[in-house]
Amino acid sequence: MEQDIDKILENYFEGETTLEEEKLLRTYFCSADVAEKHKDFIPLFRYQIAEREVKSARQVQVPSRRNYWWAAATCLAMAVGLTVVLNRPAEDLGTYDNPEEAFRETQKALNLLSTNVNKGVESVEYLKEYEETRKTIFKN
Amino acid sequence: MKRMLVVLLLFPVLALAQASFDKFDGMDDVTSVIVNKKMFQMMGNVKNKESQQYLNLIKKLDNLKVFTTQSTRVAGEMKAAADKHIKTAGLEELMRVNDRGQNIRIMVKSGAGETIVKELLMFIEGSGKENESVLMSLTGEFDLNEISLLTERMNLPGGEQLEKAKGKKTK
Repeated sequence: MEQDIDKILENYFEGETTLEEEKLLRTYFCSADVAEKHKDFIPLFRYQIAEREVKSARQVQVPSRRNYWWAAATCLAMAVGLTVVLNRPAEDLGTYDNPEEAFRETQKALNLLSTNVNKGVESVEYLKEYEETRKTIFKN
Repeated sequence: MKRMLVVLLLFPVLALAQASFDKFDGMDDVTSVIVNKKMFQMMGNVKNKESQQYLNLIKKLDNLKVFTTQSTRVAGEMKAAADKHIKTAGLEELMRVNDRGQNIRIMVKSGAGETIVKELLMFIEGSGKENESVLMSLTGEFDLNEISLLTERMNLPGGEQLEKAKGKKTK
């Protein structure tokens, strides 16, 4: 027995022991009859056993599936929030800070648009006019 | 879940699609005029005799953007952006006028009534000496007749002739 332990110990310090052998070492050092020459190693193995008993006081939570839904919901909320924030510049005043100046420019732009719309309407009216004239001519 | 993700990713893109002409704002060769709802509201305080007609219309506007350029390159970009916007926003061509070398196109998105417009896009493609191209976008909910009336009363050639034509018609 003692020789065995010697050999296993030697391997242990070389890091070549199997799990079985290490278990054997631990039971040996926990037992009452430890040989005199091995007494020096008792604290080492007893310490290992004591440490095995230590448990974490904190409870580790494994994320559940429900948390993913929360994450998805948060993402959605953030996307909505971001779009709202990003679209806010629409509430800005624009190029001008002065209403009168902006009014003048708007007036100019609307006039340009109006003139062009009328150009189109005018040609339609012109066509109608032509159509009516044509009708009267052909009637007579 | 996957479908939801796609919707999530598309959401901001769709919401930002409206800003399709904003890239022209601040360009070197571009003169831009941008007026937003807030400013339209503030204009309500500008009291002026002849402005009443405009103010009535302005109340119905949300946003006005006008980009003017003399650069042929930017004009090309404007045309492309306009074409793209016409497709994505589903605008219909209202009229196409060729006046003294200027090619004018007006596109609209109709609203509830026959002449009610929710969105209007005008693109004037310049050519010749001046070569000034104008891209104009107007949103809100307004009557096209109201726009037309604005210049009718002023002594602009278009309005005058329109009056004449109308006068003849009622004879």
